[in-house]
Amino acid sequence: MNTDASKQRILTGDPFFRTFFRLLQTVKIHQSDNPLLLECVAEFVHSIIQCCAEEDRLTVQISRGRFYLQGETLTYRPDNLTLVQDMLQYFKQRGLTGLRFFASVREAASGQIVAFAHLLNNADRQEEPLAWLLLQMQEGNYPWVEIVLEADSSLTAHTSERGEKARRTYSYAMTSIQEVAQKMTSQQRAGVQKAKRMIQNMVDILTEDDSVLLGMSTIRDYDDYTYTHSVNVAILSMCLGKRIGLSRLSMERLGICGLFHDLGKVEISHDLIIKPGKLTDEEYDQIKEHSLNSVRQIVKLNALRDLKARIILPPFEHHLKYDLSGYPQTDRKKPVSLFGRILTITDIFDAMTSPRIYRPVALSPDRVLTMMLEGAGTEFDPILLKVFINMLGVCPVGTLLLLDTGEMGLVMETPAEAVAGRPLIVLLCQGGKGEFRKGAVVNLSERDPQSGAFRRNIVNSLHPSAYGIQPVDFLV
Amino acid sequence: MQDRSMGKAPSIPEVRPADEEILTVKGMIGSFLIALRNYVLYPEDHAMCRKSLAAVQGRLDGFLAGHQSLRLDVEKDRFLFQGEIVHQGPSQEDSLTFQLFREGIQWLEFKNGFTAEELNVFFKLLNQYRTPKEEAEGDLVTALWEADFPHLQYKNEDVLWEAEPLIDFSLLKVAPGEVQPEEEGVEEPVAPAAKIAMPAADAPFWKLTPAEEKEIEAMILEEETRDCTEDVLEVLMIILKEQRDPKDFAVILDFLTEEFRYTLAQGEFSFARKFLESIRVLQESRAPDRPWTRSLLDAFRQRISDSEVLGALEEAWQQVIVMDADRLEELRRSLLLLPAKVILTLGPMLPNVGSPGIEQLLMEVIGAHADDDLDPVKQLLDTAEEPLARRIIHVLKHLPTKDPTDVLFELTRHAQDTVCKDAVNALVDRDPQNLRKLFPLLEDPRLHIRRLICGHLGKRVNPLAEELLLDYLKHRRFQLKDRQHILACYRALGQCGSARSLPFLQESLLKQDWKSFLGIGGSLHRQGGALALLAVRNEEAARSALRKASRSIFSGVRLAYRRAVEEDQKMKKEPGR
Ligand SMILES: [Fe+2]
Ligand SMILES: [Fe+2]
Repeated sequence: MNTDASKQRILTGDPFFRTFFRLLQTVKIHQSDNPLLLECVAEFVHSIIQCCAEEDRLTVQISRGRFYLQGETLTYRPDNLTLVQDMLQYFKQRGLTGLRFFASVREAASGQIVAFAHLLNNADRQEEPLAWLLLQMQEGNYPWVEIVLEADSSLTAHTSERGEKARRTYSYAMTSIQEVAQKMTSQQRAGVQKAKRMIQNMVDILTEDDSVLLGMSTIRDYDDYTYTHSVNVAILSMCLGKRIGLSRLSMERLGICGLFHDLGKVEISHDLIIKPGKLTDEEYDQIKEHSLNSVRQIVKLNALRDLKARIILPPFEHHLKYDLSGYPQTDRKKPVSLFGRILTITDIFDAMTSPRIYRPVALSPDRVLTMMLEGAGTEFDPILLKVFINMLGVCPVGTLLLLDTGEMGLVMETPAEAVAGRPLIVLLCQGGKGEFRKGAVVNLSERDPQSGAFRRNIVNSLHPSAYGIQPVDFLV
Repeated sequence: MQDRSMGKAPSIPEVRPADEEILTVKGMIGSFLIALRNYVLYPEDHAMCRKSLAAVQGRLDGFLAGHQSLRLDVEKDRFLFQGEIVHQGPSQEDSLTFQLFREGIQWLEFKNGFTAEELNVFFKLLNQYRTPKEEAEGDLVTALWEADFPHLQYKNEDVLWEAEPLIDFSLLKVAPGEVQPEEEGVEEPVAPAAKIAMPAADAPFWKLTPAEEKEIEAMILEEETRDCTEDVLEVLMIILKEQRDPKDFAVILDFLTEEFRYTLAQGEFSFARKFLESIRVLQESRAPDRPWTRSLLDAFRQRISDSEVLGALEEAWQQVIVMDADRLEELRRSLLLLPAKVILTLGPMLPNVGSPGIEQLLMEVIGAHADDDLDPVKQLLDTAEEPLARRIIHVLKHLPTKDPTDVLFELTRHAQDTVCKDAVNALVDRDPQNLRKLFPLLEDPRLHIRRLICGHLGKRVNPLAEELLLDYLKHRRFQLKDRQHILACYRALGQCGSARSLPFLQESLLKQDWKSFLGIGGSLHRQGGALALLAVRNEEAARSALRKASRSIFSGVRLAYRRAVEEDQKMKKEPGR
């Protein structure tokens, strides 16, 4: 398959950042005619030209603590994380929000490029770095580069288009699984094409940027949570899959497994599923049958044998637990598969953060993660759990925070470069009728320039559902 | 809506493309349509397909050499290039434009670098989904996504949803109204960061160690190369064991039928063997509360023994041929776990296997099943042609317990001589006493069968053969009045006979009556007697009788002796006569 090629398409920013960073470092040490430095200059120019294949310019911008290249989010991966963080820090210290290089850089004298690198390096020693830089660049001769001052409108348009697509995809995915379940209940043959298409859409979205879908995964539906739960588990699983570097075809399969993992619940009476209070042993036994039921329902799907065969095992395993102490208990004693382990984590996380009639007090995401940590190595694969927590951040997307300023805010995302435990949040303003409205987006890593202290601190985490908040209304 | 190149506005022409450009694109589409038709008519490795693929690739390369990409907007019955119509066709179901339109594809864009391999896959998919398929068989859009073309982009609408309204997420109820905020005011407010076991500042904890990264890589490799067959068979067995509903039980068995076929086609014989063993255990458990499982499992085992399922083996032969002994043993054991009716499927495979080793294996399996139940073999032989029948005879010849005599006798009447011959030989090999039953074939209308029986009779000193032939000749029981035949029988009697036959032979040779005196009549039997006596081993009496004949005063006797000697020499020279 062509996954390598598609990765290539997305990651074209990597060489640019690497050569740019190297240039900025090398210029500090060497004279302008040093061969090593000249080599850095040549590589830097080459990397810009590479990115200019479609347009005659390369635009690098920061928005909401993230880099965008030509309007596309730069993907973070373990191997580029440090570099990207360093570059973000570098831009921040100089008050830079973006740079635009033109293809004409190939005609620029290397002395010019070296001079520009010196300028950037020196800017942070100035009182007003950005103003100083702008002035210097006006006075010097740098026709091949400009500073991008405000967020590009295409950037926001692009982001909102993605949000729009994510909402539509979530909605259709949810109706697809609903349709499958309804057909199953009425003994009709149900196909998987619609579900598959939506999963493919999700893979496309999260390949570019997983924060939008992570935001969507906070959707809760108290009345009919099985379907939102299924979509959320699919999303969380695919995001985790992306973090560990699964191929897109594997992500597709994982997503379908997530979507169908609880399909077997159609065989259990609704009254039992929503029964408040403690279940009798028999009732619990019935509930425990649902993973095997899911397998049976998958077998009944109107789909090719090959597809069905590939999505049977993970739903079977999703309550088995890492140490096989869960259910169903059978003679089969093989270790839980990777997809099974992923589903185990995402399933519990979504279930415990959702209010249910039998557990009306949902736990806030950060508390759930804390509890899940206790199961590392027994219930959950410890490494995958680590990646999962790393992915969601200490305060996962959708966590409602009470701040020491008295404000409330929802966690939007935890940029990789943010101070740990200090995410980006959207403030919630309370309207006259007690309803919440979307306020400003603030970064909890922000410090007061005078005192150097953080502007806002977290006092406590709360559960949005306890306040009737559907996080997605404020996030995507 | 699926958009593989997000953020692009639809192509709005700024300037009208040059006539030359339009011509090039039109030419490209023309060759594209021709190629597509060839993909419908011929297999993809056919010269026509390859030639037309090269033609499209050439035209596309020509265009892309001067452009970044070629984007075609799709309408029901036409393609547009920068707003100009470059193809107009009927909007009928089987046209390419309509096919793309039906799937919601709004535009296609071939990027610089588009390879022949991509084009080939693209054609294959277009061909595969030319007409709308059953839902189970997938659709063009999901297939294009999975193909993940590096140099082909497209945009499609979510046609499957048509006007389905979007869910208004703000209307979903997030919690029951009366629920109180979680533990509010009960607990000391604590920053959530601190509640997580690892303090937030201790970032390295969340970073994977190189060893952990390696472990994840290994897990991914394991998952992405995983053969799910064994898992599926195991998990579905678990379900079967618990299944209370006959209908669902049957549904699972249906799926297992397909899965088992696939397992065989993949050559995964150890999975197949383990699976069949667990099916047998399940069948033997005879769950008293589920008596219906028995008949369902019986039917299942019959079904997977049919050529529809077992035929998958024929797809696997190429890899089976090079398999090691262990895996072949798994195959053998798997086939032994199937019901005897499997003979009806395995038999016809025998002549086409093309590997002596596998042929041997299949014959062993057929032999083992036939030793349980001969009926399938009989059924198989009803219509078996020579190559199969001969192989089956070989199997029957070695059956350890069951008696295949009747089946073999049946085969002695087979239309093919070679088959009859093999059957006769097998019968005699299995039990020399079978000669008695075979004896009537001595007068078979087919010469070589007669000779074959004669050959068996005269093979060695054999009291049974002697008894039969003696009776046959002495009492002139032959219906077949053929001189050569009768002489051959005499000779056979000489070969198998003992002192017991000598008086009769001497009598035949030396008999003196008025006819012999006149030298007329009886010459056939006189000559037969001489021939027989010549064939008798180590009997002085026979030699003495022959000496006597050679010196006889009766010319008829002398003549008979002389002719017999000549005949004997001829027969020795051509033993097949
Ligand atoms: Fe479940
Ligand atoms: Fe679940």
